[in-house]
Amino acid sequence: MPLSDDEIFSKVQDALVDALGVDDDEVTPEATLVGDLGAESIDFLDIVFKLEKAFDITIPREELSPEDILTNSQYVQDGVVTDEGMAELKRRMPWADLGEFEKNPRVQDFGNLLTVGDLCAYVNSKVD
Amino acid sequence: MKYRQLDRITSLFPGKKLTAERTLRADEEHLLDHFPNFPVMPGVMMLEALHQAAIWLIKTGDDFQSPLVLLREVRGVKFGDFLSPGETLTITAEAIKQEGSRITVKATATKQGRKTVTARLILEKTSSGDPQHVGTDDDVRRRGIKQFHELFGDVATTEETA
Amino acid sequence: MRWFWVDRFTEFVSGSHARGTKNVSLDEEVVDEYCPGYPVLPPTLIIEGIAQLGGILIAEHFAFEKRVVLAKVNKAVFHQPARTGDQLQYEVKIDAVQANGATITSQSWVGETLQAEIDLMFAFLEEGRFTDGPLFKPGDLESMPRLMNFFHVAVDADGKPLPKYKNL
Repeated sequence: MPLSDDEIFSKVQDALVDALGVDDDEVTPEATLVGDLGAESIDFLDIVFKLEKAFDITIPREELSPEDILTNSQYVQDGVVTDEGMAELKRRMPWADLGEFEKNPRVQDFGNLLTVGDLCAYVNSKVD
Repeated sequence: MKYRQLDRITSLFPGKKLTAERTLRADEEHLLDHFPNFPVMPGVMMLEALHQAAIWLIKTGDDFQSPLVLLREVRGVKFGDFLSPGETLTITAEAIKQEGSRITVKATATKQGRKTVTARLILEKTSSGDPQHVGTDDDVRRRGIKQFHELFGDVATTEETA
Repeated sequence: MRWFWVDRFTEFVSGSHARGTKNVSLDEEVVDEYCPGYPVLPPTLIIEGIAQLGGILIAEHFAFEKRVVLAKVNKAVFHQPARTGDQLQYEVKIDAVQANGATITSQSWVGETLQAEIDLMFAFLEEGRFTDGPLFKPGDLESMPRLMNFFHVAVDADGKPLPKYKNL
């Protein structure tokens, strides 16, 4: 039976509370993982393990962390993602809301992009 | 105490909050194994500094009445950075919850403001469970008080939470 | 003080699990005056023993080519303290493995009694991060596990002795 949006959110929330030591009410759909919830790279690893377990899915590293695109000179010019690079990012992460990022796509801002809502959308795309 | 992980207590609100320091010395023998090419304080040793801070926090809080303060659980331990020889950890431990004889302590160690380890520790005030005639509890209690003064001297206490 | 918190590997199956023993003795430096009048092994060193068993289990899974370090203690529950004269039997299992880290679950037993349960997460240090090159000197990764009886018991998934890894 497919999981409802609420069920997905609840399990993602549990995983984030566990991994980041934050309170339930801090984990809102709009909260950014890095800026609002204080996630560091070690935490992303932990979050991946917890989500894989909670949803019985496999999360290949490049699906959540497109470092290969962001460090490719074909897709990045002077620290800004090119049109070709944006297309590549959208292809890699169709579930992510890249609208805000696209307005000023600086590589240094990408890390702070991901929200709890994006994570739920990602899980949704994997469990179907 | 040879496995002492707190050099000195810098502030103490008994039962509530304790801050302390620990400097990693270049001649600490375990560094030869951890790691031969990259000497750094083992993560669990930093965690032990938090643990010892929690123990003294609790013991001073009830005037050393409990013979034993045992670690029951550790949660959410994250190692953020390494500590190299010559560097100093600032340890902060705060009691955040008490349920019966179990106390939850939130603790952090930082170097120059950067967190090297954070953890939530749950410790329990308890007694040895040995038969009365053996006298373990009295013995342990007495030794605990003596040890605190030997390790840290006269520690000024504060009533405020800074 | 040597930084060995497992005395002996008693079982090791590549990619799966490992078991080891830790004896708690009165003359250990870390036990001395740790809890005056009630000698115990500092519980954080039980976490380290598990981390050493688990770390070697993970490192071997990658032919000792990754730099494996302890990143998180997800859970550690101590049901009773480890007292002098106790022999702790550690059992460690690989839980999950990713490109840049792994998790293990474990138990510590004293006889038939469950003494502790510990779940850990390891990270693999990326080249250039924190420090360059191997953490251990040439030969260390061979001599240290050898002292712990590793090569006597270690087998692959088919029950055959492990290959000679170049990093050892």
